[in-house]
Amino acid sequence: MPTFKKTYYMNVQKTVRTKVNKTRHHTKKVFHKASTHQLSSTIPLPLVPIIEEIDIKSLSHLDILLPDQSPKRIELGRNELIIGRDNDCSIHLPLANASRKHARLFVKGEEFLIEDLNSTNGTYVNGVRISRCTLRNHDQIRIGEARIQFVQQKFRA
Amino acid sequence: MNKTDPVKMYVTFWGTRGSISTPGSSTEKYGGNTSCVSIHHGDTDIIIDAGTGIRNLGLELFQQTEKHKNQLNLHLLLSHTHWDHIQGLPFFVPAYLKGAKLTIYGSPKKEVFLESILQRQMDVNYFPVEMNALAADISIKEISEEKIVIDSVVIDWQEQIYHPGGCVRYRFTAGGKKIVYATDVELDQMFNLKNPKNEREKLKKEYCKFISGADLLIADGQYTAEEYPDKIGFGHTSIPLALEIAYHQKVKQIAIFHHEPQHSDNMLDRLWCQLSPKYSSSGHHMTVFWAREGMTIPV
Repeated sequence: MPTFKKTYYMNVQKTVRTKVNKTRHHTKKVFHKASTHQLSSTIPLPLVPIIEEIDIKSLSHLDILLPDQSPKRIELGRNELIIGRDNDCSIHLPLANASRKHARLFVKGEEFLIEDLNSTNGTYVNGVRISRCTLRNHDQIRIGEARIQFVQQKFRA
Repeated sequence: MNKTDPVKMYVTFWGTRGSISTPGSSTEKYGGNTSCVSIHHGDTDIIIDAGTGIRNLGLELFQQTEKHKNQLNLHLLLSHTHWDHIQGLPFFVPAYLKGAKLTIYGSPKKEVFLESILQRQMDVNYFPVEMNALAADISIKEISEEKIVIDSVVIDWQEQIYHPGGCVRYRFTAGGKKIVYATDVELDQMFNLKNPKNEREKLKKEYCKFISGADLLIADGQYTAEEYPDKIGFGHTSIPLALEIAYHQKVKQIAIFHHEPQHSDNMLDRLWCQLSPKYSSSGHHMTVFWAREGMTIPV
């Protein structure tokens, strides 16, 4: 797990814990006064498990189709990925019309974004040349002859 | 953002919805925020319209200024002052930053001064903070010159009468490229044969000349052809007409903008599949897309 996520996760837990503690403290007063309004606003909710559920249930992947190759699937986490022709790219595209470091895919908040790295032939999302684009489910990314589909499943139940 | 090419203009859509903000899962792809577009060129930041989309732009600019420790110098051009083009301004973080500079431009053809319209939306009955309490250095200008020049960006503008209360269209030229922002106009009226010929011809010619050869045209396309007959006089264009005119004027790329609040992502996708192939297959190629929040286009 990258450091960013860990820190963020810990902060969330800490904040929630503080809120829950405050709520517990307040609950004592509520039962003394027995006010309906205070009762309804002070029932301690198990917020930490809810937040964990939301975090876990967002799954994203890329389906990559290259000429004369079988399709590849790459599951996405919160790590930045560099896409390009160089061997050290996180997603290596052995294509003459892809730049060495062609594009990067990264997470901002809860969203995945793709950004062109000043490539020669451009990065396209649904046929439009972009500099940067927030990705949505089933967006078609084109880099040279590579066809990449972004798939995201969100579960907020 | 990644290091940008100083010659290019980078257009970002922050709000693409017309009339009223439309949040929800069915509008997630194209976005539910109302009109706001930014153009970044070199060190120049220009914003067009202050619909609810400007809130996210403000947050992004705030993050950048915190990171680079620079002071903001922003130019906001308003097409008109209907709610969906100004309602985000009280939520624009840079307006609250001491040291930030914000120049707001708008049409001189209002019955009341632009400054008073913007101040009134921040009256205590509508909003808890009054405009004169904003910490940024804000100046409000009614455009008087034929052209506005902001650093190396030249901006032409024209009044559009086919929208209730009027609306201004803008053309941005830099590095030999042209971007036109022409929303909130009922082209169906302008190109309607029933309207008096002399007036219509003059306005048609002006519009066509203004958009001719644009590298990117951001165009009003609120209605489908089927919806339009029930919306006559509302001041918005049917999508097929906007596309046809742009194609004949050799526009290179058109972003259909100001989406009808009732149009879901699925519907906009279906419309794009129906209407766009015609313009990419033969003769002059015009890229057709539906403007969507969070997308930056290099021009």
